[in-house]
Amino acid sequence: MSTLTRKARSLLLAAVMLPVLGITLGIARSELHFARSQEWSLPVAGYDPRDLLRGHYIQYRLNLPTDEGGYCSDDAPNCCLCLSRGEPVSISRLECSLASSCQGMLRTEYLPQLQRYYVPEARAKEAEDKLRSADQAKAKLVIALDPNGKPQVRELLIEGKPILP
Amino acid sequence: MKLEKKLEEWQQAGFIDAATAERILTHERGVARPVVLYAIGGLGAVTIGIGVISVVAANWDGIGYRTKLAVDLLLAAALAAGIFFGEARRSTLLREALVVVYYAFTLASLALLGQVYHLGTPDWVALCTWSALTVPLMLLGRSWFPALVWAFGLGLTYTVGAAAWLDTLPWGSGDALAIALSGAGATLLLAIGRVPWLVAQRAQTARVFYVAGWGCVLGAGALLPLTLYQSTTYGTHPALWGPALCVGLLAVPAVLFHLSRPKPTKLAQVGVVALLVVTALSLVLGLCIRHEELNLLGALLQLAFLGALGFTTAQLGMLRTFQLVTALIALRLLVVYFEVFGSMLDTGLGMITGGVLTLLLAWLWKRKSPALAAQLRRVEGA
Repeated sequence: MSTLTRKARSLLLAAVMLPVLGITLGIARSELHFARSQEWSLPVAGYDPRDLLRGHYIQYRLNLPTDEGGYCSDDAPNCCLCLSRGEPVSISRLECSLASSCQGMLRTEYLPQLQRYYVPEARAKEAEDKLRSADQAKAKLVIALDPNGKPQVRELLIEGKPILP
Repeated sequence: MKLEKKLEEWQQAGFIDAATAERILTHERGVARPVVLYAIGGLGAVTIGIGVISVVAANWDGIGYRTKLAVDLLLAAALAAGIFFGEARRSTLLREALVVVYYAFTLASLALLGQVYHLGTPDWVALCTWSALTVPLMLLGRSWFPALVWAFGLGLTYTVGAAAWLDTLPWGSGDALAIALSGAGATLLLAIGRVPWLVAQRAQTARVFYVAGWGCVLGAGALLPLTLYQSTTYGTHPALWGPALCVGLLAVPAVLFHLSRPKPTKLAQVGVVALLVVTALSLVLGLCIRHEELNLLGALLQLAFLGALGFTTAQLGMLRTFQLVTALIALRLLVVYFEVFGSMLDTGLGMITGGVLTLLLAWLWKRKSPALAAQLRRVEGA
């Protein structure tokens, strides 16, 4: 069937399998992140009602203490949030070297990535209505936080239930 | 004009006989068929690619995320297998079409990963990953269509990446870098188009990149004079190193043109140097020096650019492009008088002068075209 040499066949196989490998590695990386992470629920403070939905993403603000009086500011390269379990979660800012002894450590450089949540196009309106009508204090973002302080969004909860069950 | 009609005209004029006309028609049909085939195949492939992206964007609501990812991986594997067997069986059209579909599908899959895991990855990271993963895949394509799609994808990745980098800089400080990056982008396309392996093994891919690179250079040369229409007195000014680097990079197309095979004539090389010098002048005057509105200078530089382009295309035997450029020069001459002169009297006088110049151009064209056509035929034959 084939007129290709063994070497040419190997190169061809590598070329066509590289994207599959890349996608597989992407899946594996995310699953591994979840496996070695702790889950934390961060309070959602609110949103701009004029700009709640941008494209496929719901945008909101996290309820974090202001960086005044903290040990570092969010845009500093080695600033982390020190998280302690409780109801609500206790959050303070520390240099990352100090925050490593906290129950949970979140690098502030990743905060912008946490302030939007993907919703499917067909259910965007439903999600938007839910978030608008819910008591904002009861909205929470569940994140998976690995030991290095890198977060990944898991879920957006409204009154303890996923925004889109 | 359709070939059949043209052949009929030549036959009636006694230039060719019926048998020759038939032979020409048979030859042209044989040559033209694959182009149409590739165009239709390519169009179908792109349609499927866009369709796949739309399906992902609509997000298969109601399907569990693990199922989505499994289906995605299965589809990717099926495309990989299709290309593998298409190449092994020397099925050119299948390979070329599937390469384009798989290229778009890989981007869609990365988007799906981002959606499923709420990754929040910046766009430039996703695009760079996509471009890196698909380099070997796109090198499997041999026709112009996958090459064109690839050049577009790489251009998009470069532009989004550069824009993201510039966004991180303080306001106004990235202007010089933006100019330098624009020049570097065009140079990269030209350089890729002259990679020896690509030229030898993937001639059409190399050609698409080379032409795209020249397209960027010529586009800049044609549009940069327009920057002189805007006063820079109150605006910020880029640091000089950006435009200086860009001017330096203009040597790359000149050198690559000089080295191209078959070796271009001396006059063609002079034409290319003139084109690049006018482009550099527009860049320096438009972006490096504070100026008021310099409409006349802008118009003259644009005319000089078009003149150099016309001269170069004539030297290269590109008859149609030469004709198009000549028409553009005539049109540009008329537009100058609307732009430059203010009062009705001035505009009227300007238009009369412009009209006379245009008629002169048309007269010269008519008078000199037989000699020019003969010269072009000589260049083509050489």
